[in-house]
Amino acid sequence: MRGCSEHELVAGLRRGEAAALDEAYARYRDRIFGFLSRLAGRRDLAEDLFQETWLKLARHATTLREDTELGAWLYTVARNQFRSHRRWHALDDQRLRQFAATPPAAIDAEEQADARGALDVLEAALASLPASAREVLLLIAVEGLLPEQAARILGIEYDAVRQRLSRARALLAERMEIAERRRAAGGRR
Amino acid sequence: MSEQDDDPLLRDLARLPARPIDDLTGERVRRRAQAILDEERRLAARPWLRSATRVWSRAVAPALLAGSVGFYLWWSVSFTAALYGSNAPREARRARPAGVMLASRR
Repeated sequence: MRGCSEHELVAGLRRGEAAALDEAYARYRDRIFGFLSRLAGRRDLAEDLFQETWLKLARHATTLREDTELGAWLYTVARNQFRSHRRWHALDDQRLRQFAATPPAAIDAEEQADARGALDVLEAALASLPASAREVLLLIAVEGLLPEQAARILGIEYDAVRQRLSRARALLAERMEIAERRRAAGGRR
Repeated sequence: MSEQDDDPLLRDLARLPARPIDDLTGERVRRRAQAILDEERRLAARPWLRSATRVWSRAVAPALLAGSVGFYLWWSVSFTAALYGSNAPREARRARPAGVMLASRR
């Protein structure tokens, strides 16, 4: 199945072919894991969500629609797994924040901003964004999806994606500035 | 023209290093997914087995579980009632003062 088109891949999955699943896994494994690890911010959680995403594909492979866009389908499932995890653990997070003097994301950004290199600062600033801003940047800028594909994955209108992307970009630039300033202040000390 | 082409910040995001999953975890997930796909393929080949499995897991098994729990609760309550209920008069007799016991015998 190597090198086959997406349509053939979906057809293979609908027939329940092991080779089709292997090919889908080879194509999307690292992309989905990268997306999840940046969205979740924790490797162990990303691994759990990654596993759930692929098990869901295996369970629904034979009932996929012929015109399914496999990449978009996987990103949608991965994102939904993350949202559902957050919903279940919202109470725990709120309790943790009550005990913390500063929000966890800010702490992460501050610590990671000390790391070397502009990409590290960018990574830290991205990690400090709220999930709704992070996911749109991850899908469009990091994963290189088109805004209309991101709109389908996020379940919102095309215009709403553009607005959300623009707000997320502005927030990211703001966080980058803060991180750079902290880094510069740390360097002077 | 993509979003990244005209925005340096988005271009930088596209250059972030890949975060691959480690091989051991990746292989474990792949095998589990293959096992589930194999199961799904077998079920798809025999639709009656799929519907039987669905009926079992969605109706029969929960009903059996609820029935067993209900029966156990009913049995434990009635057993407890029988145990302490039959002892209750004896306990009450023991608690009564001796004079009352004699009077009641007469």
